[in-house]
Amino acid sequence: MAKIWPAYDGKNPTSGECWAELSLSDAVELFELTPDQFVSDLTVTPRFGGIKRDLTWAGFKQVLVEVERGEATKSKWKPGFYASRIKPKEGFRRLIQHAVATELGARNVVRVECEPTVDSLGQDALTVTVVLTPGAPGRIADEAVVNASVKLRDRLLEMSDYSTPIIEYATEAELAQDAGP
Amino acid sequence: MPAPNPDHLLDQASRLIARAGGGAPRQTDLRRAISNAYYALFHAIAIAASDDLAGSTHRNTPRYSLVYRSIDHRSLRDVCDQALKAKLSAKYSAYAPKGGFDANLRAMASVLVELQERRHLADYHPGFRAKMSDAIFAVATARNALSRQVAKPRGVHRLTSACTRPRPCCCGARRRRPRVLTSAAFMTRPSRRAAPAQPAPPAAPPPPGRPARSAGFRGTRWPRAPAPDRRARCGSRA
Repeated sequence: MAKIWPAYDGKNPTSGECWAELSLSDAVELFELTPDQFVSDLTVTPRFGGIKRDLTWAGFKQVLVEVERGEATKSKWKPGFYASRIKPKEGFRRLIQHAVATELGARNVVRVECEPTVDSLGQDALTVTVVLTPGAPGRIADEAVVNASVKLRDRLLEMSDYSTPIIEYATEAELAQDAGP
Repeated sequence: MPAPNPDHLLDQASRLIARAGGGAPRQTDLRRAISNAYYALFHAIAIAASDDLAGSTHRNTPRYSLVYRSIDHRSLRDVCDQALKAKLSAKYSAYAPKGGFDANLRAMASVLVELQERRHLADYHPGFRAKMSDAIFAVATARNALSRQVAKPRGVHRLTSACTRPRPCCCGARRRRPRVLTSAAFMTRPSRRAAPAQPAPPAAPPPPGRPARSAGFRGTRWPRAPAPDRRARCGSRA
């Protein structure tokens, strides 16, 4: 498995757990990894920016993919940390999309959009708009919709995001032209 | 009066989405469909919890209505949020099943929270634009969550049943069955009917050799009027 780490610049690159653990093939595809993005081996903590300063206040600046030894031996990848060129915000969105598309079927999902909001209790929430391909509502089983909801919530918890997900489904046509009056 | 049938609510939602005569459904219809999807799940849980607590054979009794109406949206949401957490709070952890809640139950809790939020948007938010796909999936989600409950009838009870200490029935009888969490988390405890004020009894002469107690001394036994037989009213067989 490959671990996906959001990282800060400065002397404290991470805090807490990784965002997700994915198969290496999924991680390579989602984060557009190439072997030349290798940063350091597993014994060295990769650091970026002013490495003597605590820059956690600036938020996540990098997405790192940790390729473990066991996974590396099965593939041509070298064990260690790789810095993806994908920005953390986009990485977050892709991980959400990955969780949803796994259950709904990749061919039924065009993209997933995430937007922070507040729920009816005034607590943090995340509006997740799942944009579907035409005809997808007829193809997706009821069970898959429920599984997607659970998977999304689990993924958010893995990523230490405790906001309530509010999932909206729409096709491109519906987004372009809302329903009638 | 029977409780709303969850399946009928979902059927109504489907009819609203598939508007007769073709054309795009109205916003009002889509909003109502989303709202119905949530209420189907809400009533299914209320029925299951009330059947468990008051007994399915007592559906026409005031006691059943009291239990049913005591379940409110906010506390139901809180319990569902708890069921979704990796670690339950101390309030609930003692009542959780060994190995945690099963997948069906977590799915139902997740769906309920999500649909409740959708319902709030659909019913109250002026800027909300309901999409047809959204309404279709809301109904599909609720239908599947209900089918999971049917497949595992104790599932919803588990959500509602992390037992609290036994409380007496309204007729005064102690129930032996474990009580469900509904009594702790879903419901506001019914206030005890205030007993009619009794006139202070005349001070009895103290027994010989014992000091006189004041009338309000803790432990003093006040004469009480015989309790009305409420057993017949609540229909309990306990």
